[in-house]
Amino acid sequence: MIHFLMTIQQSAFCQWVHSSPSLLAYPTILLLHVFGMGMVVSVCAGVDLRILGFAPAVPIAPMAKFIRFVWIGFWMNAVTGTILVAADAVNKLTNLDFYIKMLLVLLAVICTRTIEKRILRDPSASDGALPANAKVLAFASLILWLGVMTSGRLLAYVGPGSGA
Amino acid sequence: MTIMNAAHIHFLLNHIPTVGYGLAFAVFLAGFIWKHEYLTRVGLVLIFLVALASIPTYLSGSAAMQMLESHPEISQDIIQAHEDAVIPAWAFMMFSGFAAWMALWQFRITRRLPMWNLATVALFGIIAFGLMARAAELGGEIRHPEIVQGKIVTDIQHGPTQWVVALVANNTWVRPASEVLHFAGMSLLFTVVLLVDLRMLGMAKSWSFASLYQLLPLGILGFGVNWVTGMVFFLATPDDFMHNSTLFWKIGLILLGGLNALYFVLFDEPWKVEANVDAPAGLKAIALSAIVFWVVVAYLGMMLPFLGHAF
Repeated sequence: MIHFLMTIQQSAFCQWVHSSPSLLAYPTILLLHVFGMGMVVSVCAGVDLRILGFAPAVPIAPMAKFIRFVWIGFWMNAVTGTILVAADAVNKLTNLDFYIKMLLVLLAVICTRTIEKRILRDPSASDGALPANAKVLAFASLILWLGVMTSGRLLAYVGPGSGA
Repeated sequence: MTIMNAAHIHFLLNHIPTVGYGLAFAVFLAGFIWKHEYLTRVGLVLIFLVALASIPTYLSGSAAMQMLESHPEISQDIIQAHEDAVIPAWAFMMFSGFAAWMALWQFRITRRLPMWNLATVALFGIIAFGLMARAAELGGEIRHPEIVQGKIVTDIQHGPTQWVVALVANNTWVRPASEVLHFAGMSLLFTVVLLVDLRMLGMAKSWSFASLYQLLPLGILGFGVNWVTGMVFFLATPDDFMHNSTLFWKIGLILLGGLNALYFVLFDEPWKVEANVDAPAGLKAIALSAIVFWVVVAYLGMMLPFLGHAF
């Protein structure tokens, strides 16, 4: 298994990402990953806090228009995240924190997708009274995305090859 | 930012948090005591502006401090005592700036300035002014040993600078925790930037500015979190940032972003944007500039380890 990971990590592309002094290599890919995460967390935080009761004057339904940023950010990060993991495959794929992050991403995506379908894109829910479980969903989404952000940021600090 | 430039900038700016803050606070206090609403608001605006300007004042001072390290005739203890006196003074100044912005924000909704908020500004302001006067005195003594009376009585080993250095050095969780909070703060700021400014640009037009107005303090909260966590990074490893022109540009854009945050609580134009109304071109330009400023701030922050004199 380690050999397989080594093979990925030592491919020409991964070597370029990992070791090239070019700003287009590791810095730009990480930058896109940070911007993607920022888009996801910013929009989800806005939606979730609103459903939880913050800024009650803001109508909920138009927030559906902003959810596209969540999915743009998500796919940006699926791509850049795959590259970042491949370039450091041996360390990242043996890091428990990475698997915790992936689990949290999965749960957070399910949560946000549910909020989008059941609340934002359902006129009866977003204009009138919120469904009973809306606040539970919003709270879960907020905590899960914060968890994704935290476990992602901590990948630089915990586990093998982190310097910690 | 070269070190030479930074010292010059510090000598240019260092009267703003001292003399400037004194004047701003005096205007505010006069309005507060005589219950003159307009004067109070002018004072609040000035306090916010001085608090903003104190950010480059502090950072350039830190660089100027390093510049003097190679001068044996200058007491390094006085310089350190100056910085240690500045940090708490500056913290109260920033708190008063945040409180001033909140008072201006609330005025737009209730048409009156909330008493508890004004009292907070007054309290933080008095403390900030007193502490900053002492810090400025120590700053003056760096180059004017003739005015030093007796020995400087400051325990620089246990000052705030060393406290932060030790906190980060002795606790491995502090830096990652600060990084996580810095990301969270940025995200909160961007919640406001994306929702409010993109609405002004024409997205989700069924939102009126009045309804979105409640979101604005989230952005200031995010900025506050990032000022605190940003200071943890800076104080723990100042050398990483001191010679880095990337930080210079980042701070410059933060100041522009701060002016933008002031615009949205001060001016009437945004309020004319009712539901399903297109924002005027000028307002669109201001909204677009906010997005550009903060995206570039995030870009420069992220690229700090890679651009300029990278660390």
